[in-house]
Amino acid sequence: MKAGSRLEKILEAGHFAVTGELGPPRGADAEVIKKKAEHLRNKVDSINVTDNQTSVVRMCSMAVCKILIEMGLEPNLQMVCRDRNRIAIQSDLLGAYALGIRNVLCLSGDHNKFGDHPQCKNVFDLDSMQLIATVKRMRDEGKLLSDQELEGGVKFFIGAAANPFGDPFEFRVTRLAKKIEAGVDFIQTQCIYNMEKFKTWLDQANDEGLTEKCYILAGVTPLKSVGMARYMQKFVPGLDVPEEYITRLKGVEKKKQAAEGIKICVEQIEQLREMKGVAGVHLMAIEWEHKVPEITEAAKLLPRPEVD
Amino acid sequence: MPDFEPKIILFYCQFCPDKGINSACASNISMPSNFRKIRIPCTGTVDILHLMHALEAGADGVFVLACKEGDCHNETGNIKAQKRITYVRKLMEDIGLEPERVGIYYFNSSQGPSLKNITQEILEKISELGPSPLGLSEAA
Amino acid sequence: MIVAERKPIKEILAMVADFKKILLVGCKGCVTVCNAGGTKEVGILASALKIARKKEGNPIEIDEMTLERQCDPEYIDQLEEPLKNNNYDAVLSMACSVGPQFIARRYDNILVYPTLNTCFMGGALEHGVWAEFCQGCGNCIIHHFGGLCPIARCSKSLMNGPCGGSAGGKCEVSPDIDCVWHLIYDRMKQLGKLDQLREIFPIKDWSTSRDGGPRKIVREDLKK
Ligand code: SF4
Ligand code: SF4
Repeated sequence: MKAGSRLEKILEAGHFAVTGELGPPRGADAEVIKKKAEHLRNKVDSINVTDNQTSVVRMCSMAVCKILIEMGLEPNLQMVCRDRNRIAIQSDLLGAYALGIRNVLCLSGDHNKFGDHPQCKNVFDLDSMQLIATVKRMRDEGKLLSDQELEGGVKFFIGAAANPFGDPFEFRVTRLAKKIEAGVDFIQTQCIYNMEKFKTWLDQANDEGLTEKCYILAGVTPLKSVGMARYMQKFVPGLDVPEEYITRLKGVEKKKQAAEGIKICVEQIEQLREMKGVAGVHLMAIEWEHKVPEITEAAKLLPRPEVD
Repeated sequence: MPDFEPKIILFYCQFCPDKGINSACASNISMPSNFRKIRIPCTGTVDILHLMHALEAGADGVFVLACKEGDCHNETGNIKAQKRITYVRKLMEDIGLEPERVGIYYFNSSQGPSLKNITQEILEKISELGPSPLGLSEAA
Repeated sequence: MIVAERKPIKEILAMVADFKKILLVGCKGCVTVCNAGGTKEVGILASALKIARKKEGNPIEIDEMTLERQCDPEYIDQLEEPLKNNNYDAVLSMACSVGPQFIARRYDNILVYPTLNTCFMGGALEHGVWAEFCQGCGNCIIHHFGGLCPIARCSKSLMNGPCGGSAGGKCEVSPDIDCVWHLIYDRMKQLGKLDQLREIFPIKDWSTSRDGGPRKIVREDLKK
């Protein structure tokens, strides 16, 4: 065991893992978080807490993680390189560990241009690869980047993202291999809609033996409506939404589009579960947390296994 | 302003527009006397600075007569002129001088008669705008 | 070269609002090449400012001058005579922002204003189009990336491959920006060196960059 988090134990035991996601609020009300998080209790093994996602200022990820811990839920702290230099990153990691956080997801971060403060100065002192290596070094060597020995080590289960749909496609498996070499324990992918393309990526990863070196959690996001599907298809760089899903959503009345979206999502989870090399799913039901019980139930992911 | 006689500077290309002007003269259509014509080798040689200096000197309007698109003897001279006119107009807008005082017209040798329309249009436009504030302050 | 562009005329007009006579100084270096602050641009700006002020009935007198360079004290010295012989209210520099600072450093009795926004180190992609190629990090690493700079040309300065937002050769930030990582990939493939991109590029030492404080280069062999 590297960190002994619930997520790590589930994966180590060979269970099909389910992680959820929670976006902190644009305000300081802890009740909002508690309400959202309650929907996820006993439905997922651990919960990603986004870090100022899309560069929009929201409550600090670490604080929200702490609130989840107090609720008896397990958080995955997302950490981006956009807003912190190596001093802040290492300092935050020490603090996160002291607060009981055991899973960290290392990300470069969306560019600040997309957010609510496009005028800001960005940092990018490290990139996601180097962040992974930093966490690993702190964990396995007990040292900071400065070579300073840590008094009291940090035992994190290290995660990172992968986008099988970004370009250049042929480089995407190489990126995965590099992340593994840098020290990643688990990967959560970008939302998958194009199953064919994902399969191609996964086959390559299997061929290179990469899926044996880290756990891959396939990312899924239920489509709420035709509008959302179109938006994701057109405006989210590096996302690939095949026309067939849009046609399917269009085929039902507007009122029933959400239900159809959930149905698609459940089918996807079932397909992904069958694929060699997929160790779990990462369910990103953005601002739709209350649908997680329904989705996990329908996808036969419940009850979540017990581990200790 | 009944006795406002606009001072217009007209840069014209030695090719099509020149022939056009000549043929217009032949048919007894002459250039109004308040137009100061400047014959240039190609409208591509009209410099932003020429246009600016003409305005600075108090011209009420500064125009370029160019060959029609595709007719330029140097291929893209008229396109360059068009872009410079756009640049100057933007500059005029920024400093609060009517950008309409600057413009470009396309004209060729077979169009003698329409020269009258062009000069007429320029005159109307500038009369409407009134005298350039720069010319006035000079007089004052 | 250093690429710059003229500040909006309104901003410059506001700078000189209280002045009656100014000296506008261009530079024959980079800013002439990128058509921002050479003799011609000095002429255009002077003319525009004069037109604007004349129109307001508050004319301004502008002397024009263009120096060989404004980033060398020996050329800045050439302003001494004109400054002595005229009663200028201010000097406006049309060089990159090194110029006005050199003028200010040399003459302590005259107000100095920049008329350009100094943007980046780059080159012309075509006539009238310039792009950024270097960020002056002080420790060049482009040979690891097929000769292309991920520091200046990747929106996130990533050193280990394209982020998830790279799509169709374009950067997630804008369809007007090429994803340099896509270019790096293509070039390394062409060169048969994709293996190199598989290695993890270590954390960069930014102390040679601006992050180490304002920089200075001293060449003892050249110093007098
Ligand atoms: S690596 Fe540094 S010095 Fe080299 S081109 Fe990039 S920013 Fe400039
Ligand atoms: S899309 Fe390419 S250039 Fe833009 S931030 Fe990502 S890797 Fe860098």
